[in-house]
Amino acid sequence: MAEYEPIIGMEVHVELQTRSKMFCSCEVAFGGEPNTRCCPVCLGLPGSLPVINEKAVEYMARAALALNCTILPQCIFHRKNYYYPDLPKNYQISQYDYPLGVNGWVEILAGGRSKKIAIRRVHMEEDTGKLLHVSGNRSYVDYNRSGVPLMEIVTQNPPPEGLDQIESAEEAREYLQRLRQILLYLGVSDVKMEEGSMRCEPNVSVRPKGQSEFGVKTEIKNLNSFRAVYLGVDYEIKRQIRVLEQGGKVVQETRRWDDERGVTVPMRSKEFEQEYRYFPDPDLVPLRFTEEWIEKLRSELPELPLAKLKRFMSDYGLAQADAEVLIDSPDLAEFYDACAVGYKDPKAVANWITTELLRLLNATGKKLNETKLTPTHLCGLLELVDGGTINRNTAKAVFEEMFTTGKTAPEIVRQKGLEQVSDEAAIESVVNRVLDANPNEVKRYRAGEIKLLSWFVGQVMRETKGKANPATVNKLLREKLES
Amino acid sequence: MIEHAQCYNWAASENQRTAFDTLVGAYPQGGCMKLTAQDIADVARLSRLELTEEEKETLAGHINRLLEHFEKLQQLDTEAVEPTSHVIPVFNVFRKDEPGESLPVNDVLANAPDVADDCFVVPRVVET
Ligand SMILES: [Zn+2]
Repeated sequence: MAEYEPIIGMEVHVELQTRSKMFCSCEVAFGGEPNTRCCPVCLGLPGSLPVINEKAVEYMARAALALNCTILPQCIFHRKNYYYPDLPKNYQISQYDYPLGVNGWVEILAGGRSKKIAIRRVHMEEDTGKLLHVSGNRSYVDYNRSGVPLMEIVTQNPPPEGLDQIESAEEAREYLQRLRQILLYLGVSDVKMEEGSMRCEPNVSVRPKGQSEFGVKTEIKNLNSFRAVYLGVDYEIKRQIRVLEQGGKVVQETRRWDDERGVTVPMRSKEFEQEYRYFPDPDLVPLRFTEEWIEKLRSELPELPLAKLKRFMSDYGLAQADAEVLIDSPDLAEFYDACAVGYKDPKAVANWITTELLRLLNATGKKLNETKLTPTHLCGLLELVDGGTINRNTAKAVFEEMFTTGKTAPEIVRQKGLEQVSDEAAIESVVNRVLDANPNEVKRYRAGEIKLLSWFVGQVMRETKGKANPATVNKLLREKLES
Repeated sequence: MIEHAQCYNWAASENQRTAFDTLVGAYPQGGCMKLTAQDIADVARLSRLELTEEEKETLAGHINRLLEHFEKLQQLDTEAVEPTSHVIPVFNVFRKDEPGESLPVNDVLANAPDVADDCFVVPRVVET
């Protein structure tokens, strides 16, 4: 039986986080009452004139550069003509043969064998309105989204020399996650798949290994999470292989991912091929970019997520899994960086952040910048643990207090009297008290039930309100029980 | 498509020249060819125009005569002519990213064929 290899192309749309729309000054926001953020321009009323949002162009140029694209010295807006009720003008302002950026790539780690996924183009356009399907034969239309700045990012298959293409469902998901991270670091979009500010339409084909021509491809729609992208692409690869193995033919079509049933199903497709009759939009003059402007944007790019990941691993000695957790949010990465630089044990800091801090953030539903915790606070706490002032368990409680109140660790420890008791005499008297009060357990321990030791430790800790130095407690208990 | 020889004049870097090269032929461009009544029917459907058979024949004749004129124009040597996508030499007209007032909902919906729940109501559309 022939072995098959899948090839996946990705078309991704990202809504920009500008304050106003692409060609008019209506506000950009999520949700809200329908049709409250509309004007003659984004409703396509006759006589209205679009004017380009400078910030949106800058955001998209920044993204194109971060995706290693070449920015063309001139780009042009085209009209893409089609009739659909979510498009009030009957054309979408988009780009055609002169897009903003071309020939880029996105690096993915692909389980250790790094690949550079080729990007064919990055172009600027406007979002459409939203169709709300109601029961019966009517659809409702909300144009609040109409005209929101939209960026389209398309991969290139086959890739040019030196670059790669996406060849599995895992890689498709990672490509999308890396793209999301980059855009998040640039601050150009909130890239939320669930809210639709990042949307992805993969196309999938399979071919017998060794064959150079591509197989027939299908496009998948309705993928609203990273998980759905993985499952949908994986399903489609297996389905196509099954069709071919049974002697059938893959039909070129658009298929819809059904998340509940975990399958893709064919969508009713248009009976004729689309012809968008592109032509340059006469309302919008061309854009020309100088080398100085492009180079200025390039020089302002922040350290990107994968570079940060590699640096955290090499400079701080972190395992990839921990580094991935930290870099997934630019805020968290920055917080970690600030702590790790000022502290002798960067792995311990990573540990505190990926366990305690993330636990508290999840539990409270807060974002890092909404808490009162600072990197100095965390380092201050770790120094108290290292210096033996408090033990690890107390430190967790102090950390929680710091998280909610913004007080420093020494302040909390002083106010609550949480200093660790390392004084042997003080601990010894508690140990004696515990042993005297529990003669039965002492007898059982001496008869060989040595796992009772931890029970004794617990009793002493309770008596000392958790402040006793655990090492001292252990040592004294052993001495006394075994004498 | 703008002539690529001209675009090289704008390209400041080797990457930009390579980028222009990759655009050549990558995007289908309309050409001058003889249109049939079927082509007219297709374009009419895309434009949501309802035409009689007679109108399709007549329009095919009209449009073909126009296309012949363009064919003649294409014989001109334009090698040294600056490419034109827009007729006025103006570039980079921007506005600042500042939100302003939108229309009141009633005005937004004033031209709607049908309204419910502050939405435009249209015949149910087939998923595409
Ligand atoms: Zn508007």
